[in-house]
Amino acid sequence: MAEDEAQLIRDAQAGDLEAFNALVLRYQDSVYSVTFRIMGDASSADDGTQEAFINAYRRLDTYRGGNFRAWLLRVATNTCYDILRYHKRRPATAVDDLPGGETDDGPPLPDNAQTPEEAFQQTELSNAIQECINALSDDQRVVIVMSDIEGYNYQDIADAIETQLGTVKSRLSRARSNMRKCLQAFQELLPAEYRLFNE
Amino acid sequence: MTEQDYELLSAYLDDMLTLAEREMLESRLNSEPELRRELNALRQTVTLMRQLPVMKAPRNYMLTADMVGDVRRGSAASTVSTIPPKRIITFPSLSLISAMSTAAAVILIALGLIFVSMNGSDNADMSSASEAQVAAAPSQTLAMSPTLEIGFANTGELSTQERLTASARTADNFSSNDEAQDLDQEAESNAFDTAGAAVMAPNASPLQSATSSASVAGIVPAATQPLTIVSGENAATGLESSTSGAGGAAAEPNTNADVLEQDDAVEDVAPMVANQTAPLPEMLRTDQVQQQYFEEAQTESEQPLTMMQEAQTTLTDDGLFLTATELAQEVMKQMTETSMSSTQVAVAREGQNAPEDGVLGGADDRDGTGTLNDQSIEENGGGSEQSAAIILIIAGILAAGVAIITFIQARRGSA
Repeated sequence: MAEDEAQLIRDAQAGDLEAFNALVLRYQDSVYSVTFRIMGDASSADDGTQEAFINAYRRLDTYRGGNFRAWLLRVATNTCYDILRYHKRRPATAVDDLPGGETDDGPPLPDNAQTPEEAFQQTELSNAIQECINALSDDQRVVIVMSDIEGYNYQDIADAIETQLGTVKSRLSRARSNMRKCLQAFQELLPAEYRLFNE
Repeated sequence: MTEQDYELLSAYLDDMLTLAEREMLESRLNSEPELRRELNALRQTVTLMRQLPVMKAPRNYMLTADMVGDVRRGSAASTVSTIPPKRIITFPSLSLISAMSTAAAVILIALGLIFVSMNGSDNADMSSASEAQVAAAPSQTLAMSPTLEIGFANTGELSTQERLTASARTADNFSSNDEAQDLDQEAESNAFDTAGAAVMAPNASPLQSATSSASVAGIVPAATQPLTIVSGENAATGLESSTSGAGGAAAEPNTNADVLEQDDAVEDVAPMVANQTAPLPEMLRTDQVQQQYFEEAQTESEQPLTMMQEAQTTLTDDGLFLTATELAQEVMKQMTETSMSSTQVAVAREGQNAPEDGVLGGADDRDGTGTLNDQSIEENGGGSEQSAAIILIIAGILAAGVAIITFIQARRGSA
């Protein structure tokens, strides 16, 4: 698998589009998931994901080995971050694209097998968490997604978004604090072991 | 809880504190239950975030050759290229403009050519009709026919070409055919460049008319003494005045045209005029004669005549040669189309030039047989149609140019 992936990466770096598309099929769920968390809606996530793979193909020469998935998600995060900054300069969000809008079909169902009740609860919880993530500022959202969803360390995040380590630290602290306060409104959706926010 | 406390707790969860910071925080956690609760709440939050399931991509995001090509070409493109670029739709719009311009060019040029061909056919018809009528005229009479030629212009400026000239020659002035032939030859050598209408009356006295910016034709009766046609001061006056012979002809173009086109009417009136034997006054206003013609014609015929009918010439048995329909038409054009730079009607025989100064026109009997063998009836009065044709053709050429330019731009845009 690892050798196969390494070969695909080399072929893709040599310009083999088929090889790169094989990598796309392998990681497109992860990339889409990250872009959805950052972008906040399905339509923007779709565009962001496509753009992320285009950017990844273009930047294949910057890949120096290591975890290709981490590298790919970092490219995707950067892509979303650039899009968010672009729209921040030119706010033109359509009403339907807002969370809860007609075109916002919410997070897709998780792919793991669940009972209908579990799936419903998971979906409701995911929607609640996503709603809280969307309530964050763009900077805080990107940092908390990279840290708590993708698992990047502070330095990687700082390098990815081209900022100082201390800035990442403070942004992540505020993002977690805001998330905590936001999730208090969804106590009934939280599992029993997590209903400790008010204690 | 301060902002710094939250930052310490967050970094503590990620093991990002220094050893000293960690020991200090842990000592506080042992002594501060609120700080401990907050730590637990943040840990639960992070745990919830990390437990979020990986979402399934709604579709495949495999790249196509076009997308790769776009990427390779736009290496400097930023990641914000998801924003749809402004679409420049010059190609469809230019194609539409090119197509419309082409169609306009074809239509305009075609209309222009049609106008030109129509003018050509009108002139040809006029010439042939006049030739036929003249050929039927008695040669002797034609040889002796006086000629009245009247030109007019609408510019208001007098010139040699725009002056109204009228002449009439009586039989007294031509004692023999030889004399008449000499006169014809003399006239033949002169170029005829004055627009006007010719009225030939046998046995008529030389006529002279006063020049005018817009003159009208008069009908010259047979006379033994020189006559002078006094035309109106201007076209409008002359045309509106029913008492002015030439003016009357133009003032009521339909009626006058009827008069001039009705052979019967002319034939009935012409002998009356042409066979006059009594001396006429030194100065005879032709409007009197014209008035007689009009009255006769009105009683003879009530048929309407359209203004655009081509010029007609009427030749009576006595050699009275009338061409005035086109004159009426041109006068009407002059009234309605003040912008016309030049409107002239020339109906004359080739090489006519009266020996008298200011008198143009006359019968041409080249072969001495008394038959007019060449009817050079030139109608410059078709200038309006010709001008329209020229304008149409020019517009068509311009449209064709626009079509070509837009077509080239469209090709560049599509490329």
